[in-house]
Amino acid sequence: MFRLIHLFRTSIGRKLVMALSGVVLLLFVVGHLIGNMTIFIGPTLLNSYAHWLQHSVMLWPFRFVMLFFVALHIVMGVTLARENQQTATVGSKGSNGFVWAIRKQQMVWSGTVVLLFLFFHLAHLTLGMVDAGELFSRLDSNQMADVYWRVVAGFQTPWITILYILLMGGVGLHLSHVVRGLLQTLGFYHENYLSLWRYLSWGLSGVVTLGFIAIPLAVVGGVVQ
Amino acid sequence: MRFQLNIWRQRGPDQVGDLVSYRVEEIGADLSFLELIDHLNEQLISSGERPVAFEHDCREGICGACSLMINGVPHGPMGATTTCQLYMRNFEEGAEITVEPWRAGPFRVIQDLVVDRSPFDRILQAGGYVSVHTGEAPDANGLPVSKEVADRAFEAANCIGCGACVAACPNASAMLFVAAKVTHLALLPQGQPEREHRVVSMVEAMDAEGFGNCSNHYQCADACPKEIPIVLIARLNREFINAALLGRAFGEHSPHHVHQE
Repeated sequence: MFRLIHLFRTSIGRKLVMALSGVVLLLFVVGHLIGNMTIFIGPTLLNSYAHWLQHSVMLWPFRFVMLFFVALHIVMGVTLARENQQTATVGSKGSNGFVWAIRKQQMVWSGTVVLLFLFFHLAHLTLGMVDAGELFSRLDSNQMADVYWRVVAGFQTPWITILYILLMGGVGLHLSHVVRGLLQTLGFYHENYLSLWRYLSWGLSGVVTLGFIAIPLAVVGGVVQ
Repeated sequence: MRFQLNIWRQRGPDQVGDLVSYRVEEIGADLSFLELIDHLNEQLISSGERPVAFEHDCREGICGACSLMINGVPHGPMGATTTCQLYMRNFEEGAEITVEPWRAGPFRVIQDLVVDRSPFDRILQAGGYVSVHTGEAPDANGLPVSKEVADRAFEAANCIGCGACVAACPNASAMLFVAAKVTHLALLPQGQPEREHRVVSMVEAMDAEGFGNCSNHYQCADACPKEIPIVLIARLNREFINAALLGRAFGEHSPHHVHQE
């Protein structure tokens, strides 16, 4: 126990916390994507899947666990970023440029975008604060909450759809740094597998981002009605 | 050749420094970058000004003393080159060149282009000793080491401790330096007895010196004059996590295996 506390006081230990909490969040995102894909099969499947989630006894324990890992990831990320700000390369007048200034803080600002997306997404499709009304009371023919309709109607407003896609791009940028960083922190970044990890990094962030963006695009394009 | 040099001048650690412009002319294309500064210093001394303080020692690319940020890049634009092995033929005629010291929180500027790199020395000291037999010279192949392992260990041992990795890192992290030092002994049989202790002590010393946390930007390996591979950082993480979770000497503050005369 004391060994773990001691570990999490070291720089490598704290990065381990970042990496492991990130893995939990990544698994959630991938699971969420797979669940969302049921929308392409039809309203009945998506609505019964949503019904099963909403009425599971594990719903709130699961939400608390996710909240814990989100909080841990944010607190640790902010701590590391602040420490790095203090020790960072100070007062250089060299030609590092604007692009580098953005790139070196990529995880901080893209992480902030992910958080904004999370708030927006919960307000939009879970809490119904963005455009409420009958959207959230409508039931389908099986007397289950009509989540399918909620998604289709939710993406009829152009600014919501555009905002969703833009913020999802930020999520993609956050993810694009994830696999290599994760493998490096956990110690698996080995010269025999560099290209594999690079493809995995782009592949994973690409599939997740495009998968989520496909839904509002399908609604706008009339594929999902 | 002619150059316009913008050089960081700072009288002492607590003084405010600034870039000062100098013109140098009739520079031979085969002069090294350090010889260019020698040339400038002769010019300054003959006009009664204070010469530019900078560090140098072997001038053949193996000691790690030279440490100049040239146009914002550690050791200049060539890549895999120390400042002393950078030649003026690699610059364009009449170029404007900005020369600064390493910029990093833990490396304090002592004067002009000289920074205090003793945090690196303390990290090395924290690593402690290796147990080797003294007395007669050992048999040549008494300890079998495969060619591949020897090459990898040597690749890590190439680190000259110049500090370019820290200067290049946006977080001033010393992970690549520590990774190189930990790896080279962790791979060899001579490094095994103190292996766990070494990585724990060196990482703790690195944190105590106030170096930043690695955030996987890989700028360090790009800047390294000795091309220390980036994958060594993952090896350092692996060694450290292993020692921290499974080793015996973690978190107890056992008496340090420091070298005593």
